Amino acid sequence: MDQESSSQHPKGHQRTRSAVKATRPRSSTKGPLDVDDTRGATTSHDSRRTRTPAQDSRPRLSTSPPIPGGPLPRPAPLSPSTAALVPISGWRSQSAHVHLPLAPGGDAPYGRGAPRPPPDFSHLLRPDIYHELTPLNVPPPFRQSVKQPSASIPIPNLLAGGHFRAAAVAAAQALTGANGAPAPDPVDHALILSLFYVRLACLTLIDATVLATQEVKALEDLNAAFYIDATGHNLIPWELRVLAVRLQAMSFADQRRAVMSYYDLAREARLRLAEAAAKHDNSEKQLWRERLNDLGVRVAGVLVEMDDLKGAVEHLASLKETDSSSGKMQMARALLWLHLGDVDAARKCVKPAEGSEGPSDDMTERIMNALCDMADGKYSEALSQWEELSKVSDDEMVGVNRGVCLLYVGRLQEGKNLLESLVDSGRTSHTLLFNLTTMYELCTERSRTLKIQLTEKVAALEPTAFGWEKTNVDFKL
Amino acid sequence: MSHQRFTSHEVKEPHSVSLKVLRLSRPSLVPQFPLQPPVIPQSLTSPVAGPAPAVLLQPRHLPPLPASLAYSPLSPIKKYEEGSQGAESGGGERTRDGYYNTEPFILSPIVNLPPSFGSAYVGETFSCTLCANHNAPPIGESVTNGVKKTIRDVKIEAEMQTPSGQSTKLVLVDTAGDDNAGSSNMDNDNVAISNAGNEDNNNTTETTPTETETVATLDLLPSYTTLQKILNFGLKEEGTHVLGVTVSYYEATETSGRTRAFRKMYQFICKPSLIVRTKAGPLPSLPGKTKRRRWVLEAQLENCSEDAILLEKVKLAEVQRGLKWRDCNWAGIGATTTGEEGNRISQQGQGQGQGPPRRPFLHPGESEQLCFIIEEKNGEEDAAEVEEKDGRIEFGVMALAWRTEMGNRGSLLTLKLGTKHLKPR
Repeated sequence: MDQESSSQHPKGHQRTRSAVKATRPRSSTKGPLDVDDTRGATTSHDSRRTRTPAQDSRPRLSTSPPIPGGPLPRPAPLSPSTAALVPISGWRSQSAHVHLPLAPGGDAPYGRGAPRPPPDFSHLLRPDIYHELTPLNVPPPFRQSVKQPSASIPIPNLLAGGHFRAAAVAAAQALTGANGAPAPDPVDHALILSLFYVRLACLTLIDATVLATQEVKALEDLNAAFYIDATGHNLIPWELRVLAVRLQAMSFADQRRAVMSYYDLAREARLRLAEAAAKHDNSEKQLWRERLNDLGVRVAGVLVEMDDLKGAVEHLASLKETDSSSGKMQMARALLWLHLGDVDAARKCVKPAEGSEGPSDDMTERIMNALCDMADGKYSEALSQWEELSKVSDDEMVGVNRGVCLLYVGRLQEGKNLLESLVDSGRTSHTLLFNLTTMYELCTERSRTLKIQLTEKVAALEPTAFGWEKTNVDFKL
Repeated sequence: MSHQRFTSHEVKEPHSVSLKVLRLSRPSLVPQFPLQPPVIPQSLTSPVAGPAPAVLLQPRHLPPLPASLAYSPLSPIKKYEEGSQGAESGGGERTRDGYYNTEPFILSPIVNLPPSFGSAYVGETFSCTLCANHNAPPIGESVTNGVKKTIRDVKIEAEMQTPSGQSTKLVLVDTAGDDNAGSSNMDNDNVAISNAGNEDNNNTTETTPTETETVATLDLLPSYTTLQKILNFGLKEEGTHVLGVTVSYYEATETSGRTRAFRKMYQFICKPSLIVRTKAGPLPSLPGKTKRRRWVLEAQLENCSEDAILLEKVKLAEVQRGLKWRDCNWAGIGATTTGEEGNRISQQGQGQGQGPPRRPFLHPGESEQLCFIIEEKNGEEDAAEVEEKDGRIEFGVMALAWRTEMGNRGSLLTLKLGTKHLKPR
């Protein structure tokens, strides 16, 4: 956190600090999507934004009735727990009302039947949205490496090489026209939103999620009519909408909001699924079905984050499983029970039903049994199971869990050697590095030296899509 | 550990051996937030000629970005090559489906070591690893005074000072776990019971650990190596605990040698996690030939810890010979009762076939109400006279067992519970 806050652009920091306090979107905040937002008038936004506290007191927007017959009718919240959030829908419909027809300098609300000009996305092209990323939280062996990409490398290649910090910088530069190339045309929504997603996604991958939660605010309401095209589809890419749910919930410190937003997306996914079914478009059907499944599991994840573990158990049990995902769902349920502390229930989840030939994945059961033994405090038994598993799988998880077990049975040295050999074989997950550096801290007074050697070793690895550059936090430096 | 200090030593030269400790709570599952790969428009890849890996025109639900997962499925370099060369060996197949990640679920099966000390609660087992390390100067650096030191005869001893002032020598073992916590968890404890008797049941049969168990020794500790030991201690008292660890060793140079020792103290607070309140009262006897006295024992368990608690077991133990009891709680409703207790009232025809009962799950601050029915055996084969002391009937003690995150165990035994003898009818 320290590095992140220090890395912020001073101006951006000031601007966003007041917004962090808000627990839900403020209905009357003037933003880039407001009516009098003219194209290219980027400099005037700052002064307007600083006036937000005064504008907060104006109640007019939140009291106006929502537009009937909008492109995305919004049914009542699904569960009582979301009832408290109802005002958001009023806010959203209202902002839709303001944004619908976008014309420079206009003040009066526009009629619903007016022809729509192409939406203007210049609010995402303002340089002040994007925070400066400091390389100071990156260990020197990475910063000084010849493997650092040059500025000319296109973003897809940066992503493929796991250069997420560079990709985040490049995306912001491309959006603001800072790297010499012209900024995108404000109406080229596909390009702008795609770059915006790259930016946010990469921030979450380089331990800068806090910055992402601030930058996501530039999108404002993702379901505003502004983002809906003539056919009723949202212009924002699906993956960005899914990511924004989590980031917005974090920035408003309200996880219940995420549950509701995922349900909103799920409603739309169902709608599209029905449309695809009507068109007999099988690949489209498959796409939306998978997205729907994905959302279902994500809702369970939010419930876990909210510590509503019982709710998560119920929710996960209610999800339908496809044939291909059955082993995965079994394990997800079992892990949830384990997290909750009920080891017996976890074991039952992966036990193949008696007499049934179902797709019970033997490996799933074995992995869960080993984890359950650890939860039961039987580390020696768990260790021998991980050892057995490592003979048939070179999964990083099996290796790391085995290494962790070794520490619990008094074989720190072996555990350390095992985790080091995993790094040598090219694995560098945060978990692996965290566990290895923890062992370094245990086995010597001079763990810093070992950690720095580890950074050099990891920096010397070939960059891959799994992520190459690491931060100081990864090495507990 | 919140606090540590060194005791003074006559020698100023830094020790060749250092001590590092880590509390071995349960490892935790690592959370993950899977991200969909971006769909990048063609226009973005055009400026520089080159491969455009992620360009997709037709939207598809893609596997998540590998970097957003808790761990990578396969070794990125080695395994891909193998897979492309020998697909028939099955290696190619495994790249997608053979990895055991639960994405997009938040919890992944990979575990992290405990990141911090956390909170210590009465009833839990405190496990901690002690590492005595031979800190030779870094390789390549000139050795102090050009002398190479040999470390021999390393000894680690640990003791726990509890709030009651007792100091217990701890058994040092190789494995963490609840089963190794010295004396059993299900021993006496200090839960305040509203109507419990005054007598302390200090009938713990403490087996004094032998010298070989409490002192970990190693003849020779080579440079850059570690002597690792683990201690497991059942936390039974509320308040400040001090773990004291003494390390002694013989430091030999080519010309001389000396025995050195140091002691480190680690202090932590042990908090209660469950508050137990009980109330006992008479119940009217059932109609029948033999009038048997009956009582109801109610208990309220409140989770006063900062973590959620899953109640695993609640039962009466050490029940007086003349009495039998019935569990009216979640475990008593299911069919999973085992006949371990001879004095248990048999449960018939209750809710069979509904699967195992849901165990109560208490968030911090939540309570669970429990109930037991206690009855005289009067008239049965193994009946005995119900003992009364000073007009009090003692039923027995209540044994509680619970679990917290990742299966961490806790258990308590209350003091003797009972009621004032009231004339029946």
